[in-house]
Amino acid sequence: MANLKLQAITKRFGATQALKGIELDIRDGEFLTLVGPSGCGKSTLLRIIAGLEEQSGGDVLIADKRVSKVRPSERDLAMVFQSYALYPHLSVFDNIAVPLRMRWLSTWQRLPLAHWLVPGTRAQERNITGRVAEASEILGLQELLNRKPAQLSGGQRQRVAVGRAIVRHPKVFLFDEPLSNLDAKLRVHMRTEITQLHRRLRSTFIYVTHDQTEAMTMSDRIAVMMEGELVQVGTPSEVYQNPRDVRVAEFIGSPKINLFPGSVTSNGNVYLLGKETALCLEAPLAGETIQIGIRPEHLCLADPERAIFSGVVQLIENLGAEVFLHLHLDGGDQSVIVRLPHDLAAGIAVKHRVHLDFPRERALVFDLQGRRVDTEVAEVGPVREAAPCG
Amino acid sequence: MGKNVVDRRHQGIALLLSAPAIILMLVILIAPIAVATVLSFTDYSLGNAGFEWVGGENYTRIFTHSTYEKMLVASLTYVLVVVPVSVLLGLGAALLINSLRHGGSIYKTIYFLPVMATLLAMAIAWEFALHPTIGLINDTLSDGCDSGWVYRLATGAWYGNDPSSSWYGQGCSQGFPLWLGDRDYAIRTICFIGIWQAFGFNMVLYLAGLTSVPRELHAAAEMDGVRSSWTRFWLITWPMLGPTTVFVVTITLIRSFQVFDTVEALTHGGPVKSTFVMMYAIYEKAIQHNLVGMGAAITVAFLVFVMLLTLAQRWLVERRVHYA
Ligand SMILES: Nc1ncnc2c1ncn2[C@@H]1O[C@H](COP(=O)(O)OP(=O)(O)O)[C@@H](O)[C@H]1O
Ligand SMILES: [Mg+2]
Repeated sequence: MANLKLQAITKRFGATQALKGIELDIRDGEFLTLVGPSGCGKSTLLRIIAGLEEQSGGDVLIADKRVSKVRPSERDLAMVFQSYALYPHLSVFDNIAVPLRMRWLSTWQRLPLAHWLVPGTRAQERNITGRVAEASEILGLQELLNRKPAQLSGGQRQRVAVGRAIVRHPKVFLFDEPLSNLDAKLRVHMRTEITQLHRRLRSTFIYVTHDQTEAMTMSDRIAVMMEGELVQVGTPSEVYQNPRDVRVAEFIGSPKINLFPGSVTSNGNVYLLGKETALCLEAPLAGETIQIGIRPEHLCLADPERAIFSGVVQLIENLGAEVFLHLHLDGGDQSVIVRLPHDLAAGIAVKHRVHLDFPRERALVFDLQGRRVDTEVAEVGPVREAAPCG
Repeated sequence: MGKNVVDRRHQGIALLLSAPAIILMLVILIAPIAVATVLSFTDYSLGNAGFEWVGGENYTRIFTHSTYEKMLVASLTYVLVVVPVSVLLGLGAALLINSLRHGGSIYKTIYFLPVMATLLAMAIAWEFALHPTIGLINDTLSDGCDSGWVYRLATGAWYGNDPSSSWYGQGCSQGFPLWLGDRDYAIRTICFIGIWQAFGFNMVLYLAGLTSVPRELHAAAEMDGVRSSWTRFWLITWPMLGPTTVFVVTITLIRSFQVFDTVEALTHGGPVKSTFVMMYAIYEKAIQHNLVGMGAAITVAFLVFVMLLTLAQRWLVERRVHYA
């Protein structure tokens, strides 16, 4: 177990700058998720931490020691790969045993028949068998130890890959999109298994994914990456409730946040689609266009005279407990998604006109560069809560 | 009942539609083999009105007559030398080229040249090079006899050996081998040319096999603590190349059994039948001596060899090397 520090990590591949100065502190025993769209540099960063790729600049510190000159195998990390990377010709037992055999046995002791010839091999093999048994018990692999990877299902292969990682008790675990090859149901199941594994081992987990649901459900902290930069690092609820960048707001949350064009008057009043909102900027930003983000669950049905906008329902997605309405707003080509509890959406059908409002304190305002701007609610009136607005 | 009629009509159409393919297959592939098998039990000669059945006599001869014993020895020597050497050289060259950062394609092209070149034309070049008196090889070797340090190095004299007891020393005093004219050297020379030609092909197959080894597997091995390339080779490269190796070995085996053009161009099976390989035997018996029955028997024996090899390959492939 150890903390891990990334200091100004950069990486260039020829002309492309894959990483642009990553600064990150990962605490001992923490479950940190690196999340971001495909191609933003997550795998590259993970491979640099592992030592499989050399950074162009910056430093990686594991347990406060600089590891740039340390080989991957000596950094005491374990990695679970997206493709599982199991040795196809070895049984499950041998796959899990490889990291121990490579470290505990000499080249001679690894030869076939060595346990007859080289003293001490038998005792080491007994230790290895014990450790493999321990790992396979944690993961429920006892019945599968003699099978080859080809005879396993995707979820079982995944588990073997995890087994190969935990058998050595390393300081830090690195996961590179480990669930992306599994079907949806298994993914949800493995999510809880990995979370439980983290709770049990109490090691540091660094988990890479492009799936914001995985990031939200599993992590202690989320680091959102965009185009080779860390945009925001925080707990799942911080990142969701209080995104510091419009790209974070768009990436985290499903369905996606609704973004509206807006403007600011010289005294800081925010106008949304040309309508006054009673929102005020804390710092002046006069005369600029802005974007206002409202998450689908923060939009609510309202009386026509109080509504801030109205639209026609184009599509209804019924998920059972809740319903997503896809609307086309009046007078423009703005589309909006509203998330309603099932009962509230009962009477609504496609082509119906609905009127919407939102609690002002829920609105997220971003400036032209996409940075978050803090706001306060000017209006002193009835505080509007989540749907229905009343 | 109506269904049965429709079914039968469908069957008729199916037969009709596949008939051209089946007929072609019978005429082009199966019939010649069948004819050869029938002829192998006769003493038929081209131009003769009829033939006599001789039963298994042709086959008995293959395994008893000294000419055919020499044929089997020559073919097996060629196969047992060329296959392992060219496969190992091909693998070694592929591994080396694969580890290069730059210039890999130059090596690939050069090593692949013998494969692309017409072997008959190359055989003529070899014939010149190997000529006992005016050939480049013996010329170069005897030039070395006059240069003191080459002589000392090649005879092992620098190491304290007796120069006259070494191969090179004897070559200097008694003349270098006739290569293609000496019964001890001819088959080795033919093997050497076979290796020279086959290994580039094997190298290309191995290079293709190497590209299919996933990059993540190497990364996983690195994380698992594999430090030497020796261990990495046995843990990843060799097992992952299993299917390639089976393919390469089978192809090289079959091609080695089929060796003909070098023998025809350089030695005509001689001297003293030391290079009398199977293909050349078929050619000599069936075409030159017009002993079609005998030629057919060798052909069938050859087919059986190749068939056994192919079955062995299938068995290996299905059991051992395909992990998925
Ligand atoms: N070996 C490489 N050579 C050149 N470019 C690379 C290499 N590896 C990654 N890249 C580039 O770096 C960027 C980040 O890649 P990656 O870290 O794999 O993204 P992610 O894992 O977030 O999807 C991509 O634009 C990719 O094309
Ligand atoms: Mg990736």
